[in-house]
Amino acid sequence: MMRDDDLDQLFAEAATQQMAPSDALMTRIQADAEAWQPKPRPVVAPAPSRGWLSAVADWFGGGMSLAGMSAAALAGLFLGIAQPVPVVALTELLRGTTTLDSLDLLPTGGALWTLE
Amino acid sequence: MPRDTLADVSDETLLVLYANGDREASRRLTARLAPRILGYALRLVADRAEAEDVTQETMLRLWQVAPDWRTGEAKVSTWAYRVVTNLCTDLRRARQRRPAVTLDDAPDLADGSKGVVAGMIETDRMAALQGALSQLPERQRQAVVLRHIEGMGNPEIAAIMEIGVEAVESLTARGKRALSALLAGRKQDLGYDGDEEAEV
Repeated sequence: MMRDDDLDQLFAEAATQQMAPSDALMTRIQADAEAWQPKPRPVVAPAPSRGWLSAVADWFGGGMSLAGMSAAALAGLFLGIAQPVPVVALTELLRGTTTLDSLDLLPTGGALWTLE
Repeated sequence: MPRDTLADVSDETLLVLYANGDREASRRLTARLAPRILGYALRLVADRAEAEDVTQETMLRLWQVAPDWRTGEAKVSTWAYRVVTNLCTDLRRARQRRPAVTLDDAPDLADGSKGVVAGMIETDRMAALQGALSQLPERQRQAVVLRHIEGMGNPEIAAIMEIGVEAVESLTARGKRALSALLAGRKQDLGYDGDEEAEV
């Protein structure tokens, strides 16, 4: 048997040996690298940030929906504050506090502005 | 990326840079890995041309896997050594399937010329070591080369050979014992005769 020290010395010598690849091999490897290299990815600019109003409009289903809901809310507020005569009469009729012989459900424009 | 800024960059970072289109990264990675891969392959197959083919194939597979490389999972060098190990195993199996070469197939040598084997055996210590390594069973040869020549730790060898650490320890121990026995008859070639006399 060979001594362990001698074998270890032989291994150490072998470990210091550098295997130099030939120029032809390095050229072949580099050619493969270039052939398989992915193309650089284009840089895409980030989308501009949108305002809070756009986010709210999206939540309600778009700008048109939001505009319609806003108009309906303003109309309700107006009717609540102004309380035009035809609306008051209709409310009383529905509550049963008064009776009407006739009710004009399509009042003229001026009637809407008549305050009680 | 400029050449000098890549000197301290890890293999994995170089591979990611390559995948992102950096040409210098592939040159730097080739310069680092190709000599090591070639040396390991040469120890396993003992044939320069075949070892170069294995080196090129291993690097090619590295370029192909680069875009899908998952960072932080395995060292690039460990991955490369595993590919070399598997390619050399495939090569050995292919050799075994080939018809055996007879002496009649060998070219005639001119008078006075030395055979290739005789030339290797002469006095070269490394040739003696290589000759003994080539006689080891394949798995023992892989384990001994990775442990004692490539200088790797048992866990890394286990990852390369896809076996457990205990199996690595067993293979390296048995391989080293077998190598010691094989080289015992070559002490004169290795220059150890004087030491033995001194011991006696």
